[in-house]
Amino acid sequence: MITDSIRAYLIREFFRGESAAALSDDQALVTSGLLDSVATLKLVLYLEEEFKVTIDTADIANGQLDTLRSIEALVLEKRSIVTST
Amino acid sequence: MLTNQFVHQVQCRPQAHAVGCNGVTIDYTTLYQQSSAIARLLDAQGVGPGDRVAVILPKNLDTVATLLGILFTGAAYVPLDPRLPPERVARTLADCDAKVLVISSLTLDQIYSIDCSLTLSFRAIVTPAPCSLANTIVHDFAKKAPGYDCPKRLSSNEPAYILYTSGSTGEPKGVVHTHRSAVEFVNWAMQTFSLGPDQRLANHAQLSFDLSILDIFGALSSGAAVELIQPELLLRPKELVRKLNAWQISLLYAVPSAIALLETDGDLGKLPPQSLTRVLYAGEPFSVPVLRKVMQALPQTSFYNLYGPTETNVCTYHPITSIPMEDTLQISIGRACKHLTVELLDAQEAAVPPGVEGEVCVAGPSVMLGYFARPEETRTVLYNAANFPDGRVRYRTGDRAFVDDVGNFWFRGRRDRMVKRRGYRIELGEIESALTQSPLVREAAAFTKTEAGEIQIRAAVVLKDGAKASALTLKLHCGRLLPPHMHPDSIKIIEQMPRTPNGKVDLKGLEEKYTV
Repeated sequence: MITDSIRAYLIREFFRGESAAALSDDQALVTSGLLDSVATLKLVLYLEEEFKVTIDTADIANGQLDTLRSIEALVLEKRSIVTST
Repeated sequence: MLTNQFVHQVQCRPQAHAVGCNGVTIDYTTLYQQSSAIARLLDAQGVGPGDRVAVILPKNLDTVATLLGILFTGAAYVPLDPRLPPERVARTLADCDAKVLVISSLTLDQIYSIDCSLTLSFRAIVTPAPCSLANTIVHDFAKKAPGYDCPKRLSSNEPAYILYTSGSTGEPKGVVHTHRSAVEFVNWAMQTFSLGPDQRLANHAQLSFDLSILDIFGALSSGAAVELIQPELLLRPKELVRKLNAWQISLLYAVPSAIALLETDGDLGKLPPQSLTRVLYAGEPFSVPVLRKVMQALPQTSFYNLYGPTETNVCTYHPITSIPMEDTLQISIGRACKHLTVELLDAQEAAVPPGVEGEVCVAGPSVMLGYFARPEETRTVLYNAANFPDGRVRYRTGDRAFVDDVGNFWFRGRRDRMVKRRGYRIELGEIESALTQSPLVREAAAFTKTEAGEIQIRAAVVLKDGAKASALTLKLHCGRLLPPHMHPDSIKIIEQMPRTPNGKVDLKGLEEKYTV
């Protein structure tokens, strides 16, 4: 599961000691203040590296990085573009 | 007035590029017309000298017009970061007693989720304060309109803008700058950095951050252009480096952590912007190994270290003439700007000799008027003018420094518990106050730890008897009350607060508890 990998990354990197259950798929990450701009930058770099996708400025602006669920959707969408071309 | 030189530029070069955003640029005439339209609109709401207008807009072309429009009416603008938590926005609005709030419908819908693609269809909602949505009026600012007659005689001692900074008591406080203080600063910047029609400045900072005064008013007062960098672009350092090239930016002013990203994550060395003649940084010390890499990537560019709290804007500056080679070297904050007097005073308000540490105190025309509606706090930081032979007010910064034999100032830290992170001032007391506002928390202590050159904010929390909470719950609580740069990086729940024999929180003991 993509959400599980990202959740594990977020806990490892930013929320050490938290249980996976505390970070639900729909928990707001950016708008709630859990991730600041530097953390968001790191998350983008991680997603690009881990899932071999390119995240655009518009994706960030559209709030697609706000929940694990929306990040998964974004990664899947980007991957389908890569495989179909 | 702060807008006088802009209006002069409108007449001198009506078709010159004034502001750019997302690849769209408007000229001085268009900007003037839009600003005038907004001024008229505000005028119709009864806005004039002595009033304050709060602005919560995403950074775009219309936002600059809004700031100018507010100034045209003689009122002061109060910019608030659209990413602030709604509770904090409400408290700040109440504190500044804004007559009108200018907020885009977009920001209103979702205050910190901004859609870039809508920047051109600008609609603003103007609501009489206190922000009561039932009374909002929707206005379309896109329509062209002729000029606006500014108030005939506005005293240069009237407020031009109010910037909110962290307050140790838990409430943010508004730093009031007058037209005079702003103009004096802008004139200094124009002369020192040779701003003029051939220049293109990048506005990196949020409009609520005082770095933006140099970008916006430095550019528009000198006939230069200013390019607004969207916050989302800051998360894409490679793309930002490409844009700096494409926009032919000649001056970039930002905090060191942001400039460092261009080198560490942005491939600055592979694509150095040839037009970039000046890089200015302020807000925090630059890590020398990183600064060296940035300077090596940009051999044609001049670098400057600027120093000054929001209360004075820049008060000393240092041209970095050679690439620093020793990692442990500190960079001087340089000499006083020529329109200001910078002194180091001891506890008895007497000047200290060279080599001895003292508190940085600043006198001169760009010192703030005071904290908005906080006479007590203002009195504690502004030394009475009558105490000095020149009869000028001194602003005491709370920063410690010494001056060397040749007259350069060297920053040595703070007198109190204020810390700086990514250029933002943070009062640790404000974080503690936010945490203890949670019904679950009995006691909280915040402290800092530097890890890999980056300041980390840590908080230790003692819960109330029987209360259950995880660190994540408390982080979310902070997210509702504090701006993003003030959120603790980590929160640890502890059984009991370690104390020194005289009852104070034992910070050393806390750090030990933290490492366990």
